[in-house]
Amino acid sequence: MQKLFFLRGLVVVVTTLLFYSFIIFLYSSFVPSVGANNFRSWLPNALYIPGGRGYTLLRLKEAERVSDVDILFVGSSQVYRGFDVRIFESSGLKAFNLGTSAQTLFNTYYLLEEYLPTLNPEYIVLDLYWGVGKNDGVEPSIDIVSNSDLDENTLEMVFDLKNAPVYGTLFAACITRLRTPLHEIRQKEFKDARYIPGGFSESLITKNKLDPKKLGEIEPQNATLHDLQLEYLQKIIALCESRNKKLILVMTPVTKEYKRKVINYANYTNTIAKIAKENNIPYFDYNERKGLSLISSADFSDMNHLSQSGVEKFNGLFIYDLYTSGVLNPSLTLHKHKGPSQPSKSWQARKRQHTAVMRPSN
Amino acid sequence: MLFNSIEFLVFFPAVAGLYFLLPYRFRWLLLLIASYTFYMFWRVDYAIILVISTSIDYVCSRMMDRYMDSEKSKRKPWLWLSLFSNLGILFIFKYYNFFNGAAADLAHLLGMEYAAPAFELLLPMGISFYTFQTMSYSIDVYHGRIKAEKHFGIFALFVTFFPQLVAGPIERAGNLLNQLKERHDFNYQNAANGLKLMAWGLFKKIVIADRLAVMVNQVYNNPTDYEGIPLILATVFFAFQIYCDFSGYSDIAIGSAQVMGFRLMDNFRRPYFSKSIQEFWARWHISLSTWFRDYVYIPLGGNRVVKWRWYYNLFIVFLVSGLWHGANWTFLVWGGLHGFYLVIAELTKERRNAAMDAIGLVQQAPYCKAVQTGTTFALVCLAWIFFRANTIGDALYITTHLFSSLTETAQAIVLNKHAERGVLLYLGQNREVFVLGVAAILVLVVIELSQRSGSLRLRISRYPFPVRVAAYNFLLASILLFGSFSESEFIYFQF
Repeated sequence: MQKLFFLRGLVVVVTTLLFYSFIIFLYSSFVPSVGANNFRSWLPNALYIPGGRGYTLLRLKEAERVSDVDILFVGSSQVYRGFDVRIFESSGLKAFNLGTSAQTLFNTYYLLEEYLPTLNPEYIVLDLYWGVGKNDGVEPSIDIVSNSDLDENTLEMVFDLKNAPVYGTLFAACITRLRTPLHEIRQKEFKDARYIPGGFSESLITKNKLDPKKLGEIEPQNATLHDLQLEYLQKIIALCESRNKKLILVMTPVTKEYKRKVINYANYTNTIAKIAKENNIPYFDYNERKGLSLISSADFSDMNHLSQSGVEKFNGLFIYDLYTSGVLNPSLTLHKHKGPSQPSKSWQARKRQHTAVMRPSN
Repeated sequence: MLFNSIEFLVFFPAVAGLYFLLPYRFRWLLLLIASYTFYMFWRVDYAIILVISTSIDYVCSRMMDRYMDSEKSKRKPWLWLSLFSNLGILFIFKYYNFFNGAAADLAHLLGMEYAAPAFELLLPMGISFYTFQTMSYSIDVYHGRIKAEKHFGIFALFVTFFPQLVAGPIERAGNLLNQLKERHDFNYQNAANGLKLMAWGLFKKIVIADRLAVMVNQVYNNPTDYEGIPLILATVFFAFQIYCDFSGYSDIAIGSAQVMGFRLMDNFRRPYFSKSIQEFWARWHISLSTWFRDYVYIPLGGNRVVKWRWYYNLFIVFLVSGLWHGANWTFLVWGGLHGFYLVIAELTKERRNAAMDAIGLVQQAPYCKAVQTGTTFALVCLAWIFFRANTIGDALYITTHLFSSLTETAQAIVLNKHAERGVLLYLGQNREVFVLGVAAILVLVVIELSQRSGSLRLRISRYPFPVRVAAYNFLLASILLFGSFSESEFIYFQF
């Protein structure tokens, strides 16, 4: 009797898994994902959406090929839409932008584990935007699983998160890639942004409507770091120390209207500043940076993402700050850089340009 | 530990497996350890309350048993000690702050000084359930309906039996205590039926209740942002959410006990198909309503008293039932409303029947049934507003705005000029979440309708094995594909 029960139970489990796999295969292979990467799905536990809006597919593919960069950017859309690698290249810094949609510190850790050995950056710029700091890491994990090789680090990330939709997405990715391997998946194109080699996503929107209705709908919020994210911030710090990488913490700017919605912004940024100080890490907050004059209607493409004009202003000042604060050591960078530009000239020129127009406050 | 957690997925098969592997004499010990482990996954220190409650009731019941052949007066002090200690613990943890706050408000109104301190105590999970279970045991021993259990371990297991410890069904000693001493060998049908019931309960909890919860919370946490259709939708969704949440828990509890050979009492019998409020209470949370019937309503005189006293009894029982659910005015109003419904139903019974007869509804049985079922559901939903609302103010706002701007909201949903459909119809979620929620409700209704002529589980078990497997595949794959695995607590845990 017991034998029959277990045998039949096994049949039910196995056939359920087969049936489940079949549904996932049908759904992922033949149902078009309209408005990709918006995580709207009829199957909420299998959100496999490759080639979506954040260009994670192209970015991670490129990251496999690139090696020995000077500076690496990690974080959420604030990062991949906020740090233009071309501006850094023109300043003599070989850069790669490894930002992914809603990337939390939890995800950053595993991405660093994966790509540090090949990208081998000297500096790692980590954004601590509060919008993702409070998240549990599910959405970005789904994005990464959908767009990356299912290697050891990705699997470790999935199993550490212990979340059903992420497991489901991993399963869907495994099943679907039997038919369409990762290298055959095509990146979708979007009208409002284009991918720039090096990981940057350039915004093609030049005007921010600043819809008062939408602004009014944004609830006043408290900026916090999820316990999991705090834990992984410490892990990232330790990882960078162990690999002898210089970590730089940064807060990319948002519109002042959006920032005003954060009730405890001062507390939040002070907490990060304290963590940075305790670990002897430089921290730059560009929401508080007086020299950065960003216009909400022109320098942003929405409430919290920079437009290309904003990126240019912000990146220029960031490079200047890195240089003048002594964080970036040009001589260390110069000997590695083999590009055709004249880094020293660019550095000096940029320094002169910024010194002429603004006085940094921090 | 939650039934919808990874831990339980490991815990339960391990306990059930060990249960059948161990020699009979050690099984109670295994279940007792498992039950305390189950509880301590939530809070280790609060297990001491279980130990205290168990010890007091054990001693009191043994003392009452000793005086079983003597005068009742010799047993009475022990009964009082048991009731006083159980209700005392319950009062301190659950009601003290509520009554303290009410007293402070009253004193403020009267211009008097009142400065009793409030306690910052976390409500022990399931305290109302196990307190009521042990109280019924003490009362039954006092009346000589059952003999006091001599084995302390078996009695402790009766208090803490893990499938029903934190959210019922509230078992009677007459049913459960003897089963705990019986030998249960592995039985194919019990194990298979238990697992099926568990799977169905899990489906109700994580596919229906937890998916609806997102939409319900959106509206009920910001009720003043809405009028008309979204308020109606959220209220109806909550009716299904709470039903699936609680009956889902009960199904998993009954099913997991059944796997090990125990029979727990039914707690729900398709309550939303009730044709009257009275019938609703015979089908909803049966273990609690029968508890109140046996230990409050009947001792008050039940319906064998003068009419006004009967109505008073009905009203009081439901008021207490409301208070049992939570120390909040919203629960009191919810209970009071149900008491009021029952009293009004009794008062108007003859006139309603005459009116139905006059309009010819009595002759049209299906229509009559539909009207009665619909009216009962509407009344239950109206009361649910008070149950779910965060404050009385919110509840009053919702009840007074349920039918406001109905045309405007309907028009906005249809035209969707400024993407209002997402807010007013999908309740802040996307279309898929809304459609899946509605589809899940329809599945529930269809399955419940099909159970009018008997248990669906039994009917499925008559089909050949491949057909049964296909049915299980659908159910399990639906849980995997559509379930919300956020390990959200069951609503009734807070009670």
